[in-house]
Amino acid sequence: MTIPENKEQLQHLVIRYLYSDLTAAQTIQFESELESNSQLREALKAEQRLDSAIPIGTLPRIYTDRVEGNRWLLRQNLQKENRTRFSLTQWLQELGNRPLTLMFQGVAMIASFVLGIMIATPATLGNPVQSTQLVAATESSPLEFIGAEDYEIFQFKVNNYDATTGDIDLSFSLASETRLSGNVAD
Amino acid sequence: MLRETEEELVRAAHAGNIAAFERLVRVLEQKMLAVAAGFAHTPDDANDIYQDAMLAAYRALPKFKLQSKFSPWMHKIVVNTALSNRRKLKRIWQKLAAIQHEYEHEEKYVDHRSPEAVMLDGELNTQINHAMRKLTDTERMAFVLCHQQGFKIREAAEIMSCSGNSIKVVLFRARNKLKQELAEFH
Repeated sequence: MTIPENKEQLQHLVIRYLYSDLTAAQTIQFESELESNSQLREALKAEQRLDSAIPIGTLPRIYTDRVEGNRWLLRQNLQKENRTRFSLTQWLQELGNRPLTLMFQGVAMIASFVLGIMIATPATLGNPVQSTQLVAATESSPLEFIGAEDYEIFQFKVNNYDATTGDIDLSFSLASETRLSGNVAD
Repeated sequence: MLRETEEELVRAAHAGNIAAFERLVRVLEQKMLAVAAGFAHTPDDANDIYQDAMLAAYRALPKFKLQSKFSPWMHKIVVNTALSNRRKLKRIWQKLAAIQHEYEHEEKYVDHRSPEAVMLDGELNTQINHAMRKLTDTERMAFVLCHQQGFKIREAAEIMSCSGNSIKVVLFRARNKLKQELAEFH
């Protein structure tokens, strides 16, 4: 290690010495140089003056109640974080750790699926009650109550007519009004 | 044996075990709070940085390599969180500083060289807080890590993700600013 003559470089060297950045051999050389090099001595004194005002290792004081307050707050924040965090891998791992739960959930899902199919296909299963209800629903369709004369044609329109061939294209709408009286118990 | 326990705790915390994470943090909480306090303008800001950093660490646990050391990794997270928080808070703080009495919201510095940790003189304490605010973010970080926390220059460089030479230059500038600001105390 060569000892610089430049003031700024000397200060850099002193800073390295103060923050233990020199090797053991360099530290020995630095300390022996101090005895003969007045510039180096001055540079070290200047830096040590700052260290006398704010010594190395001077820390902001952290009181116990501040630590405990932060500990409590961190716990709340972590619990909140855990509630909002969802990991698919973790969920699958958790399921893997509980095979009985997994089996029960699987059986429940299959049962729900089969039940859904049974309800959706009543005719093929031959459920007499449901078949009757279906027929009754078809018989009581509102269209059944409209007679041949109970409607009117409106919005009649000739879309296209070819005089040479006689082809014609028409469109119209039908409207009807039906009134039913009775009792819902019937 | 201790290393093995740390690994187990990291694994458990990664799986969502809050108690395991709290045990990991408990060893470092006072130190981490002091680091955050070194970077922040006020104790409240420091607490916010600490909370944000701990949550960030909890989320980043899957990225933590088990063969590396936990403490420098946590320091790195606190430094990065402090940087991003400082940017967010800078504008707010500038507005607040005009209406608040700074001395009511400052950190109290303690000299830890002696076993009974001596509180610094009130005026010097205020002046240190004032002087620290004059440093840029990187100057402040380098100073907090090397001067307050006792990290070596290369360790600080690793935490701040830059070269050792950059840290030396930044430390040099930080010390010169502090020498000017604390001239009457040395």
